[in-house]
Amino acid sequence: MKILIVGAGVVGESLADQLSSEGHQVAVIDQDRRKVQELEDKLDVLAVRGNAGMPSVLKSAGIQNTDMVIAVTDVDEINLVVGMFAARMGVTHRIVRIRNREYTGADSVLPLKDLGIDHVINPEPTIVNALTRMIEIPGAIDFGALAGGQVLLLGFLITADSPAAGRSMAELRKVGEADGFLVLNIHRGEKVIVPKGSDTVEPGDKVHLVVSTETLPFLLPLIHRTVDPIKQVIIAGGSRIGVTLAEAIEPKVDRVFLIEPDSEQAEEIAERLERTIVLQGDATDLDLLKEASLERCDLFCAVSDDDQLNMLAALLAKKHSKTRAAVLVHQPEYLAVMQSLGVEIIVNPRLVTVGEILMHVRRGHIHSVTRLADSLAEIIEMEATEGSPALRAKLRDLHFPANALVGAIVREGSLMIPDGNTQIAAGDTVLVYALPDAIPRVEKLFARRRFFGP
Amino acid sequence: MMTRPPILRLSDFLIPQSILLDIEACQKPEVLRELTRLLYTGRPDLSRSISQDEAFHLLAEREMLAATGIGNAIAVPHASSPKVKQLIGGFARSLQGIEFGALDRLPCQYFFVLLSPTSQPKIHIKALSRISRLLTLGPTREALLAARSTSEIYQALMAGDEQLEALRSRQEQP
Repeated sequence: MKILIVGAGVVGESLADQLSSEGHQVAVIDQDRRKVQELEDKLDVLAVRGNAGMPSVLKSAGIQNTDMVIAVTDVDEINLVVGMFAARMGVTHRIVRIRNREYTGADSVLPLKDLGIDHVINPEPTIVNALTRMIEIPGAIDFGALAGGQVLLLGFLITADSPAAGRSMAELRKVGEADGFLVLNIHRGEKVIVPKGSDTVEPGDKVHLVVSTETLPFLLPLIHRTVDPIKQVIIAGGSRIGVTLAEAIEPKVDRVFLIEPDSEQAEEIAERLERTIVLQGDATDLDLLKEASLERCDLFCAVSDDDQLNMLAALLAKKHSKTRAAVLVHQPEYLAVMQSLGVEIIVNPRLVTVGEILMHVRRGHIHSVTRLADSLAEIIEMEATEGSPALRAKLRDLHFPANALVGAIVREGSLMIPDGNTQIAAGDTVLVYALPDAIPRVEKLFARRRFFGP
Repeated sequence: MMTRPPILRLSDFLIPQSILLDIEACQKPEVLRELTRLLYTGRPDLSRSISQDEAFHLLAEREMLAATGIGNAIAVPHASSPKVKQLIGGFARSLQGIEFGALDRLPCQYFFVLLSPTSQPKIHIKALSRISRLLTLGPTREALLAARSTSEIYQALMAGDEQLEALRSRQEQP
């Protein structure tokens, strides 16, 4: 497929990298001369420098012959204009990132469909929902909703007194078949293990698993012996994410504090939020944190637009209390650092956005693509269609790639944890966990009838 | 192509005989014994497929791995075995509450025991989710605590099951 990416920020660049390495013909437009040069040197893409709001620039990047345009500059308005031009120039798929709710809301003056924009990407609602659910699900450090919410993707830290610690995959698998969950991977230090039956879960591991939403209560006692619900939350940063998060959790916890440095902004937020206590000031000011009763805080959410401020505030809060922390990190380079510093929940908008976009690029009947926070692994959710190779044999005879596994099947509305004897049927929603090297083979297995090249 | 999946109802796996008004035991192993016994009352054929001892050990083994006290005073000890032919359940109440290693540290009052064929994990999962939803319904919980006989408990459970059905069909209305 010919794909034009507009904007080479963190999202644009990682999409360019991934899509070009998957064999797509990729062109990128960015205003920054150095960035353009870097892309030319590093990746197999056509990099064009210029203002993407100008039709001439879009033309020089070959928009006329492009199958898909992905507009992910930092400016909503530029993305909008690019989407409109693309529609006018006959580009089949137009994916545009827009973060401002004035454009995307149901009450928007100008419906985006009328402008020819068919897919709007905005990671913020997904992020707010994930943080809210992680507050509700004790101990969860990663969250994704799959199969229309029937299946959850969750990450947990295994502690020494966790009942699952020391158990083998075979033992957990047996329980999981009856209780509706499956362990997908184990993160141990720097390694990601796609576990076999003899592997055991160890204290200090981070595990990802899929679980049926309805039997989630039965999984939790396997992870912890006891839990204390989250009652008090501090949100650092009155960004769009911060404010919508406060709104979402107000009814679920006892007390919410929100810290915003800009006094006008803080006043506006205080007016908008009903139960949240809004404090104006710097989230790295320990006295202010104490004013927000840091000592009784259960979860500290640093979600401002500034990565470094988020990191610093969260570390300060953790040092002076027993709180867990959730940190919004935009720069991919910081992800590993945050983990090594003991921050429990790391939210990366880039991964969410890339996942939402990849869903439109992948072949077959893909419903969603979820990128896991600290690895390149993906959970691909797709509908199995008549005639695809995956339907021809039982799972054990399908020659599934080693770094991939079928995590769950939703058949006729209920969840199944598959084993080697399971045979996928047309109409099933299949959740596949795959490391990057396995993705092309998985795609082939689920491709409809014939395999088309990219 | 879409076929509507069959709905699992409580009456598919619970019989009035398998209900206990009040658990006498107060330690976890004895409670599990009582619950196991419950599965066998009113099901004379069951011991021909699986002995009570074996059923007890399966339940205890699962309980050893992790408690089935899921919080909210609910415990659902469950296990599966290839020897079991169909999903069966039993219910018992404890007015004073029993320490069952629950996640929220609260004693358990509502006990639902389940035994299922290993070959039908899908039905097992459905039963777990139905029971956990049923036992969080406020009116059902109240009626169960107020019940003075096993038949009142059975009625309360069936009424709760009806309510879940009503909720579901309301959700399915466009």
